[in-house]
Amino acid sequence: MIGALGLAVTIAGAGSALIGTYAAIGAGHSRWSAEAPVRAAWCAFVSLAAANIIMVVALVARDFSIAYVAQVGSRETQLLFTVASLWGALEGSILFWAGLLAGVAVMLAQRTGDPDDRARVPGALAVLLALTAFFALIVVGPGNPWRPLSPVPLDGPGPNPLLQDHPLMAFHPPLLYLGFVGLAVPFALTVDALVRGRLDDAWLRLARRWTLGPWTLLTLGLVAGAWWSYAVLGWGGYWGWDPVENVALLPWLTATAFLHSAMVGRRGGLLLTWNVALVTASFALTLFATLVTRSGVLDSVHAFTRSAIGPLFVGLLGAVLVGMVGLLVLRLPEASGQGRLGARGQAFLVNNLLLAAVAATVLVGTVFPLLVEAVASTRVSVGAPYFERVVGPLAAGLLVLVGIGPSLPWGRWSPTARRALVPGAVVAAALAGALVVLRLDAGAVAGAAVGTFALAQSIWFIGRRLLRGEPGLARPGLRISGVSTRAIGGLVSHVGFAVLALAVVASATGKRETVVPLTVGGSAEALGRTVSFIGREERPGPNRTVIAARLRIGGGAGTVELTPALNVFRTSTQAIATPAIVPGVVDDLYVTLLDLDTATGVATVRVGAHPFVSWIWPAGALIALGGLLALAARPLARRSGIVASSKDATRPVVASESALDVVGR
Amino acid sequence: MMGLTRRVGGSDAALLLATAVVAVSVALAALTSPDADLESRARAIEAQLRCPTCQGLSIADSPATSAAQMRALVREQLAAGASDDEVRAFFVARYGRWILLAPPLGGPDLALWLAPVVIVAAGVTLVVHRARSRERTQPLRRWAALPVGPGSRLSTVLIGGAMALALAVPIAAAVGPRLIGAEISGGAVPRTAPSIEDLEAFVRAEPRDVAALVALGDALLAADRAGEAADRYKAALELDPNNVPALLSVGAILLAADRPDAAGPVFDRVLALSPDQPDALLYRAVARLRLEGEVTEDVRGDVARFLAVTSPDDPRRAMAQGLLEDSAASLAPSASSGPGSPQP
Repeated sequence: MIGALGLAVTIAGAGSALIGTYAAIGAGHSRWSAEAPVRAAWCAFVSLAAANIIMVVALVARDFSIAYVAQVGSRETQLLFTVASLWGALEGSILFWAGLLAGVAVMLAQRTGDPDDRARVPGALAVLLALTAFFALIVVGPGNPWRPLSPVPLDGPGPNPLLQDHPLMAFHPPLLYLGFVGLAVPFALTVDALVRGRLDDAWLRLARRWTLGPWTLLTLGLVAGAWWSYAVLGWGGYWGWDPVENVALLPWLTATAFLHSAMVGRRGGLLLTWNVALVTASFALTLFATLVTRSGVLDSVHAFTRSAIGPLFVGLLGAVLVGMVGLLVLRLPEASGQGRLGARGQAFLVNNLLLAAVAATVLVGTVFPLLVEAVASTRVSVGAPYFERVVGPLAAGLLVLVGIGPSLPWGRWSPTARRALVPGAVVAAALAGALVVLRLDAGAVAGAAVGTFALAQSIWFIGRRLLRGEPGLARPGLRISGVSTRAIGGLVSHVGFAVLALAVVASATGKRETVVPLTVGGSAEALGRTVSFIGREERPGPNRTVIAARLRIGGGAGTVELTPALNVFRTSTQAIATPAIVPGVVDDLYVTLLDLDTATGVATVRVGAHPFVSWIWPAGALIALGGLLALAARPLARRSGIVASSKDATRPVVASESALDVVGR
Repeated sequence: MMGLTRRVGGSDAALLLATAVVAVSVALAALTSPDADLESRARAIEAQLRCPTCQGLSIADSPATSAAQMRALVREQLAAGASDDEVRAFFVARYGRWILLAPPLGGPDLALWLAPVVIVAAGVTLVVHRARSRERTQPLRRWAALPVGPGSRLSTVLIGGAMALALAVPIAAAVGPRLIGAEISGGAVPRTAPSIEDLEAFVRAEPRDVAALVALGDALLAADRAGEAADRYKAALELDPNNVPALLSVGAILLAADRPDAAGPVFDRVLALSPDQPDALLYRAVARLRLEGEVTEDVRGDVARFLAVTSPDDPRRAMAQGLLEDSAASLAPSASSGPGSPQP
């Protein structure tokens, strides 16, 4: 009954989205009222939100007559994870995705007030609602979660045990999904701009603004995922270069590149083709991420065709790429800029080159095993050793740029710019010298030097801005609101990135671990601490048995009692280790129970010291905070005369500073 | 010289100096890195091997039992004197290329390693090409015509180039040999068996590492310190009663000490665990021969099985056939030749 209702509401959502698409295309040609597609978007959103709520109700009520509930639900799962299983498997996640897409369509329509920007809404809505319809139709057709089951099973297997171990798992996926779905908005605006030949500054400003939000959510989602991996999986790391992680990182990389390159474009109508490519790539990579993680292609290429959803996604991805290349070819003559890049522009260009290289390398490394399997029928692995070696140098280049870029003038290179590099360079040199004395290895010294340079420079730039105010608007005193927050936002993100890089270098090169076997009452030395095994605990949980070892760890900073545990789930044979972590400013103490032998009573415990890992999470939050600060700033066009006229439809506008640059020559 | 000082202002000098300090530091760190000891070599290899039952984790990180077994194998082989490449090759032979988390540089997957280089090169070419074509539409400026002074573009290029070079050379020196040495030739780490002192330190640090105990026993045996070796093997067997290399060595020591009565049951246990273990077959035959004083059906059976499971060019086949001719009753296995050293 509830299943039929859910299906009906989903069909209503798909129908509204289709009608909305048609109306939006009509409104673009002024045949329909501009309000019609907005109303259709509202209808689609309300229907699909209702469908999602109905699914949550069915999950919580444990209505196993519905196929999806029987697939992911279980009577023993806690409420939080029951709700979270809405997006825990393929069909549910597509239903969720469709609802979010309709949601961002409504948001775009509601939040666009400027009459000039308003003209872009119907075109963008056409794209967003078409995508909503695509996702909703998958849920109605090949990926129908509402199928009735008969006979009705008494209980289900529950979600993957790994996914019901930590509250972070309830936040990490929706943050990523929100980011993914949000990146459809700049893409939709770009399609509209290309189709109507309005690839101008106003487009770039809007697209950048609508990228900031999703980018911030993606940042938080990635950090939450890393944190979950560290706190739950018990392997002591936070980023495994697993394909699932890589494909989620890819759109973040291209979106980051776009946030930078859009600033160049706005100052001279340059790099328009490149900006279109980045927006398209970011969106296409969100589709790719969903395709890769949900189609089973990761287990084997041959698992790919088991469901019709995989090929449908490939079709959509192909259509997006072919369509965008076609549109670009048609519009290219109009889209070429004439201005000069200037010093800062050149720095942005190098930044984009590096970010694009990181993204391309990660993409190649991720699909390489699939290609080899498809072509040669043998399996190869591409994992952390490859990515670390390749991404490391590129990231070092990015850090150097973080330290240099913001000090460069938009016009010509100047000696002032070089003078601004001195503080960071001196700090970095001092640290590098100190680390050599401490006999660290070359990678750690190089990483620490570039990271410190970036960090010191970013803090110096922020301080200078706060004290002196904006260059050109020279009014001394603290200025945090209004004009300043945009630039400060970027610099705050840079500080976060530098701290993150330093923490990653430290934890990657300074990790210490040792494994000790312990009998009850016995103790052993590990990493300069005394580890004593006090006793064994067994706690039956709702759907698992938790076996824990009570340990007392002394030495260093006082004595702590820890209980690392092993979770044995009734529905799964694999035991999951829950590590006990004592976060520290310098070192995290990370204790994992590897084995607790019932026959001999021997506990095998891994004790690790992970330097600076607890800095990673605040650093990630700082990167996201930068995004929020930039979002909080007032839109650029309304505060200055830099953008001359956005009504000049097809010609990109040359900004005043580039004009100065020309005069200066 | 005067021109140079005029070109380089105070802040530029500070920048150059700071860059030089960083460059020298990185170079120093690369040159003074301590020689790879057994532990760090083992960790480096473990980070490159995939845990077969996990999702993309290395055996260094994985808490799984299979990963622990593979770690023990890595240490056992390194302790027996295998080079890093040989250890990797051992696992590739067992599991296929898939077991390496990064394909080797010189292998069939070279394209993967070239990809980032090609991507960056293509990007740079594109950018330079675009910049050139834009220059052509504007009046061309020659380098020679540039004014020389602290603010000129030339001095920026000069200083930037000097800084980039200063940074690139030591980094290349630090990373280059490691890449080439470890990945292509495998010659960076000389192939020497670890010393007894190394192994003793290792065992003190990890007293429950069975593989290390066995390796230390092997080393002591090779140094004709059979009594101490036997103690290590016994310690290993207390931890892992079914450790075949330790059992074989203990049996061989007993044989060498003329205790065929005690050696026989040890080889029986090996053969119960692994019925076709050639060393155990051969030594049990020797033990029985010495105990009985004549060639019995049991001895014949063991020798026949030994001949069936060894390859035709195994040097010990002649010795095995000699046993049957009864003239070899005096044969005693030399402890350093067979047991303990793993069969390739």
